[in-house]
Amino acid sequence: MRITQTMISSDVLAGIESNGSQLDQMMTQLASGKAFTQPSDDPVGVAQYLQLSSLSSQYDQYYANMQNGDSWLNTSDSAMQSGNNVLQSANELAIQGANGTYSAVQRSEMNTQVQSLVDQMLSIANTSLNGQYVFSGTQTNVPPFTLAHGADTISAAPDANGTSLAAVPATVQLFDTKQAGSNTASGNPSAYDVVPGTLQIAGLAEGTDYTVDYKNGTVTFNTAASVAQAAGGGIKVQYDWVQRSEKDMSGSITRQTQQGTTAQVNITADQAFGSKSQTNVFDSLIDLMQGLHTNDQTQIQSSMSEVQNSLTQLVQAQTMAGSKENLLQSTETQNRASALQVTTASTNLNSIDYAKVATQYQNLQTVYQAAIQVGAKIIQPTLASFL
Amino acid sequence: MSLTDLLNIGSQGLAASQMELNVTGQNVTNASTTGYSRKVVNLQAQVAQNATFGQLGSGVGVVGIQALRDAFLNQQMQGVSTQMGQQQQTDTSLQSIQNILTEPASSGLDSYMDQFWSAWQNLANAPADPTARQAVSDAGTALVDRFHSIGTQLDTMVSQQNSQITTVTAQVNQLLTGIAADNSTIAAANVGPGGAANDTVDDREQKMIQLSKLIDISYTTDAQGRYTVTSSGNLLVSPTGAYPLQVQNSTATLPDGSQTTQADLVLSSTHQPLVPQGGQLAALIQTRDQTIPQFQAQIDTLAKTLVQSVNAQHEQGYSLTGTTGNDFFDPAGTTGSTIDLAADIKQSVNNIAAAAGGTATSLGAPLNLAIPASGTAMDLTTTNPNYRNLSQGSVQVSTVGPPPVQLQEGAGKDYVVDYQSGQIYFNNPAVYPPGTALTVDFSYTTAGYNGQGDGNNAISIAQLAQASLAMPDATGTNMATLGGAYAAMVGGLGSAKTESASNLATTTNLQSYLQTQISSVSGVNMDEELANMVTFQNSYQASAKYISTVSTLMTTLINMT
Repeated sequence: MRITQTMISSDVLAGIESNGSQLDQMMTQLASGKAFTQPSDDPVGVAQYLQLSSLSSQYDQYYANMQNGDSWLNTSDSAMQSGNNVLQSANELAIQGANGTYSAVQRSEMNTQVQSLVDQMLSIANTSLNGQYVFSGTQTNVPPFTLAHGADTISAAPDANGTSLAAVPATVQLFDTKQAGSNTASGNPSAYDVVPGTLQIAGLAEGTDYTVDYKNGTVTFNTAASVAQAAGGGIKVQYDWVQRSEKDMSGSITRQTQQGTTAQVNITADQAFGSKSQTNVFDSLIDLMQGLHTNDQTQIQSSMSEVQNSLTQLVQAQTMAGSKENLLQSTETQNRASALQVTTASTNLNSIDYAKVATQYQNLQTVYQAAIQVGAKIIQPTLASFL
Repeated sequence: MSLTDLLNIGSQGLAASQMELNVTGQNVTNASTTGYSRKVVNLQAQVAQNATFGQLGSGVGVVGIQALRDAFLNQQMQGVSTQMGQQQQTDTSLQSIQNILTEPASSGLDSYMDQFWSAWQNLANAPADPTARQAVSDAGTALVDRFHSIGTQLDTMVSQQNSQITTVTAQVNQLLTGIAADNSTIAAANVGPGGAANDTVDDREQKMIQLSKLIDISYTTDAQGRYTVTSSGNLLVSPTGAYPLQVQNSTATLPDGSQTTQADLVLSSTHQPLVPQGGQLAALIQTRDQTIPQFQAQIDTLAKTLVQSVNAQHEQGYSLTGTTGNDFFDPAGTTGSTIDLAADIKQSVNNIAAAAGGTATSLGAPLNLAIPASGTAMDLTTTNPNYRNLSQGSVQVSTVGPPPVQLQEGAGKDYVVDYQSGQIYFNNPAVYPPGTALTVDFSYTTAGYNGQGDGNNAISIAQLAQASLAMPDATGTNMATLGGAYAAMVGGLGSAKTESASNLATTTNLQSYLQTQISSVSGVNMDEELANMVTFQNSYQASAKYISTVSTLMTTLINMT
């Protein structure tokens, strides 16, 4: 075969170029640490890699979801623990109060203590996390319980129930006229769980002129004095009562914990503190307060079991929260293990073996330099140099 | 035989050597000229007369100058160039599509989809949080923008193919005219005695190779050495002239509804459309008409499935203000170029339906109604269609009063209630005749919005990430998630690019092999030429010496007389 100068130089050039492009590819790999930077580098690998990175981001998201759910459960749990302490204190006070050795004055002091327990319980039941009430089900912007300041004017005319003060004794249901929007004919909600000690009727004395069923919010007037006052401009009653929200608070707050699996992370007010229809925690405390307020040992005795029932219910809710937390934590552990596997697989797929590539790079560079040097020597001479 | 004849022989030797040196000079100086074939001078001994003792030579004559080339190799080179042109263009196009998709990287569509689903999960974790809502809207916008960017870039690529077709066609026409001109030059040179237009032939070969890179061609040669060039049977160059191609621009509609100019080829002679089967033009047209639309269609399907599945789930949920049946994506935008967030969502992130709802019990405002005619029921749903599914025992009916009197509920008493349908039947017309004004209190249950803490619909939407929504099998069952379908598409693109690159590498090797072969036949070897030069120099000197000797002989003869 005839060999020409052009052939030699183009062959040398082609060799150097091919080495150069391999070097370039290895340089890209070494610089990025990645085995592929575009789909054509490894079509199957890239498709797998995309899937794995989606999976990895899903696992991380589930983990974030569970951490978030944890904080809900923790907040609920610690709130319930405080509630537990409050109810235990109430229980101790109930046991003391039921003891015959205490005087009316001492019971009144106990009553003040229970009142502060009611306040504590209110703030516990209305615990919020990031501005969201944790015990409100999905109605997270509505507090489950509110302390309402009620005001009524009771006149001598028959009321909505047809009760008239003209004949005593007459039992009147309190309607909180300060609040509107109710299912009662009067258009106001009937008050219940009135806090003993906060109910004031000017000119009349509790015990003689009237008695109060604080839990149910009814006042029974016994004397002519009250009739006279009702007829002459009405009996003005002021009180505080614990209003349970009318909203449906049984909705569950859920977090996705795994593919296709969600976990409920909230304890509802019904579960922890009792629903409106059952005896809730405030009913129990108000009953106890009524006993202490009216110095009624039998009432204290009966309220004691209510307080204990409330405590049992709260402990059950705490147990529920605990088991939810356990489940979340074991799922978290599982999640981290799976996430690690996915990350490892994804890294293995798209990482270069530095030692291997670096060695190949060295070899290739040697070849490249040799090609350049030899090429330079081959191309140079022609017969012209020697003529 | 005279001394003058001897001088003639010498001068012919000088002329031949000069001619040879001339050609050597031409060869040496054109050693690196593309397409140049080396030339050699063919010499022949001149016969003057037949003497009694045999033929007597009368010097040397130049028969012709021959270019060394192998027509078969050149033809092969044209075929390889056609493949080269097509494969190079295809490879470039696929690389461009790869660049448009930018996978695998954080700027890829896949990553934007992951972020979109994550945003929904984060919203589920804090459904009332305006930041989380904004994040969903932002992630949606980013995803939509990424879709648009891919759509727009693919559209731009289509118009680039069109303008490139125009440019390449201009090149083709220039080459066709050039070849036709060379044809006539060669024919003219072939007519005269001994005049082969070697350099023009070289030039025409070069043009043929350039042309074959752009479009598939075949050719025939006539007696005068003129080429007739055709492409898929369509005449491009006849022995007498060129038939250039024309670009006909028509308007085509892109998937997003916008118009673009589409360039198609027609023959200027017959105005018939020409569809190139090879070369760069074929690749450009194939990329424009098949490759890009194919990826565009896959992106569009992805967008459509995303829009429809997210909307279907979103419509089930409730916004922060309790409205339901809203879309998240604009239902009209079902292609990569037109996908968009719904106007409601753009207007306010409160319209994102994170809540799945539940049953909610509400208090009915006290209704002032009258007892209907006997035998008909008081229907609360006529006041409000939601006043059904009443809570047990919540219905209290009293007269307006004063004093209001509460009616007794129960069979055999004043009224009974159908709690489910929201109807009250009065059955004591003796005391409460039809027309008696009443106040009705009740509470009712509706399936509906259940508070801002409800993030269950956001979870359902986020779960679409793992739902099989794409790539139906033969029975129509979807086999892949949206992400999986996209990954498969990217993998397919990668395979196509790998294949085109390996085809191109093979053809490049073939081309360089052929180039070597051609070079071996037609290329200039400097050493060879220089060695020849020395030979030719020597023969020139020898001829000169011979003339000087003959001259001496003549002088001797003249001095003798």
